[in-house]
Amino acid sequence: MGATPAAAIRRAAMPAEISATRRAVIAGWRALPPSGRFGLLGVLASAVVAIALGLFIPLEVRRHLLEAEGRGLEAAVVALQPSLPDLSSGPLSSTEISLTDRLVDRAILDSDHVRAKLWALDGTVLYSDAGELIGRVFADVRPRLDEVAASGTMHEVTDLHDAENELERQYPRLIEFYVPVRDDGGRTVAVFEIYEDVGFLEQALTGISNATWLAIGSGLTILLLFLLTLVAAAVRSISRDRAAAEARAGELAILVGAAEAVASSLEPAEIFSLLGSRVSRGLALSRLTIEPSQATGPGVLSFQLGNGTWLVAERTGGTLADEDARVLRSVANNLGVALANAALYAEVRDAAQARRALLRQVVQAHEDERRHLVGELHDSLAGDLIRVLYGLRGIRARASALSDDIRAELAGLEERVSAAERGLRAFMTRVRPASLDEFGLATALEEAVAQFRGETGLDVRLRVSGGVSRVSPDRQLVVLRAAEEALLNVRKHAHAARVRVSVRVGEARLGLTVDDDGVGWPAQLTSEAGRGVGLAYLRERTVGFGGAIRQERSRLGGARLVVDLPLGAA
Amino acid sequence: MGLRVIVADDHEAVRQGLRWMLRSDDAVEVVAEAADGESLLDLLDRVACDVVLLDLSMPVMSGLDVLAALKASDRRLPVVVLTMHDDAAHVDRALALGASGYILKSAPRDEMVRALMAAAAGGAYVQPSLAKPLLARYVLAAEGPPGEEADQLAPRQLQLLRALAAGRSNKELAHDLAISEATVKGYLKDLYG
Repeated sequence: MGATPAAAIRRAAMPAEISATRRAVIAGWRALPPSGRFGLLGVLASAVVAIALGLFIPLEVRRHLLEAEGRGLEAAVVALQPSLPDLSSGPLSSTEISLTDRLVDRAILDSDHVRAKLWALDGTVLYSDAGELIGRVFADVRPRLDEVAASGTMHEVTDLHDAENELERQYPRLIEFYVPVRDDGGRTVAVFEIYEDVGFLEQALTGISNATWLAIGSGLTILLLFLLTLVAAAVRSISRDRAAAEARAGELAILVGAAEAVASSLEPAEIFSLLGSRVSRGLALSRLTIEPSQATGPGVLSFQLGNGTWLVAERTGGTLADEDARVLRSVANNLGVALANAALYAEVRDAAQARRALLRQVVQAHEDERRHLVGELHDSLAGDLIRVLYGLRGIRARASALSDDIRAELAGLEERVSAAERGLRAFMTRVRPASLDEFGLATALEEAVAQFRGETGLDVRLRVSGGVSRVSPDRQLVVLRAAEEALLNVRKHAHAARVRVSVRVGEARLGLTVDDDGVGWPAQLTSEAGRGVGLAYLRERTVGFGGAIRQERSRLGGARLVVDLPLGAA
Repeated sequence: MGLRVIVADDHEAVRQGLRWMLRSDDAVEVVAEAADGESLLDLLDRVACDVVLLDLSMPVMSGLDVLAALKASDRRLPVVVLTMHDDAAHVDRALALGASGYILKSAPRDEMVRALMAAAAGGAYVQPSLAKPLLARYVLAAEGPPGEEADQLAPRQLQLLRALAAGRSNKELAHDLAISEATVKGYLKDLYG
């Protein structure tokens, strides 16, 4: 699960291993903008290339110089060769040696070419300007002699430790050139070894090297300076951009805040208090108000709002810059639009409220009229009918003396009046159920459901939950009428077997649902045009109380009517 | 001497009719009349009677109020309700308040007399057309409240309800029943909606 002890120790030791400098470098590198990093990498790469060149150029110059020198000596040897004694036939005689000595002294040796030897290919010194070497044999030189015989002139730094070079040890720095001596057939017969004192050459090379390094160094320095300037400029520019972007983001935040404030309400006062506080805080304003007229002055700006008023902003003891003005102008535009919207909305809302109030009044008037009608019927017609009925019955009770046809006529009249009374009673109940006024919604619904059950024989159940007594009488009536209308629709259209009526009274709303397992809403009850007079009337009543009616599909499979009504004053 | 009856009805015409109709029978005698509940109660203090024929819809004090008052006063006076209201609510309420009889105003004379006699004899009489639904309600009540919604719940919904009662979250329910959370929400919406 955890790290091994060794790893833990290594990790613990890590911070100590990173020196302060290294940390500073890493931090500096991280602080650099990408352009700066690229620049720095470029300088480093340039430095590497320049150093490589600085090392390579002097070596190359030296190689070329030495090769040129070799070719010069070769030419000298070729020029000398016809005058030389025969070298292919063993050691030279003293005459030949002195001849050679003269030739060499004249044609080859000078202040730089300090010594010369003439080797037979078997390692025998045929000639040397130091006579004591002549005739001696140095076997370990032979491989080189063979090489020269095969591939031509070569050179190398003289190894003063070699035995054949014991006489050259007085010179600090020698280069030995091996130049083949060829006969007329091109065959190498001997090899000249010429020692050159390269002190001067080295001096020249040092000069070249120094000049090269100087050029590289100053080039790199200039590049670095240029780059540093560039990076500094880039960093300045970036931080300028960032500052500008931050300022812009601040402006945007203010504008977004203003837009949110505008979107959050349709009440002008609310909109402005929210927007005002956000914008004031965002722009550090000392005042942001809506004024009837334009205001001017130091640190004060005014913007027209469209409805004849002005948005006045002030920053006490400061000035409002162009950026502030831009933000404020945008805020003013938004605010103007929002205030115009709020005004429109208020108009619409007032109109809607007026319409609802009117609807409620109409419904109320309608119900009052019904109640009044039922009262009138009860007080006059119903009583009179009963009076006639009882009169007829009284007559019939005393009618033993009357003839049969009069008794039959009386019985017929009695039946007619009785039927009229029943009809009137049913009509009165339909127009205004007495149980609603007397016992409230739950009972009235029970009545309606029981009557429906009795008339249709369907499986109807009612459930009422919540405090129905909290529902105002006019709303109770809406619910009762809605239930009756729904039951009527079930009877007319649904072909249902089960019907469920449910009323739920909540904290602030009540809901009535009537579900059936029939065929669902018939087209003529769902189309906008022909919703049916009953449903349309119901909708108007419900809307009058700020409620809504929905025709849905029931989970019993058939139709579902939902009435949603707010309990409070709508 | 017939049965002494006090009639209470706000319709003068109805009272007239009753008097006229009942006078034809020696078995019943209307001894006093009242036009509202309050005057009826006054009357009862002064006039002796065997039974009261009481209308429900009356001004000042309704018939149900009179029944309540009589019940509260512990007065054992038989009352037969004579009304236009044929709805169960009125029937139930009147009987609950101690009425001994309940007949509609359209009831035949003989039935009215039968009800008055029965009530006066310490019995009860409810018009047969109202008695049948009354008995049905009684039976229904005796059987206890119907399992209203329970039999409408699908097995899935019952399962959900039980899990909910056990305190499972929507997410857990979805996992338990191997259905999506949206489906769980759909079920719950059905349950609550």
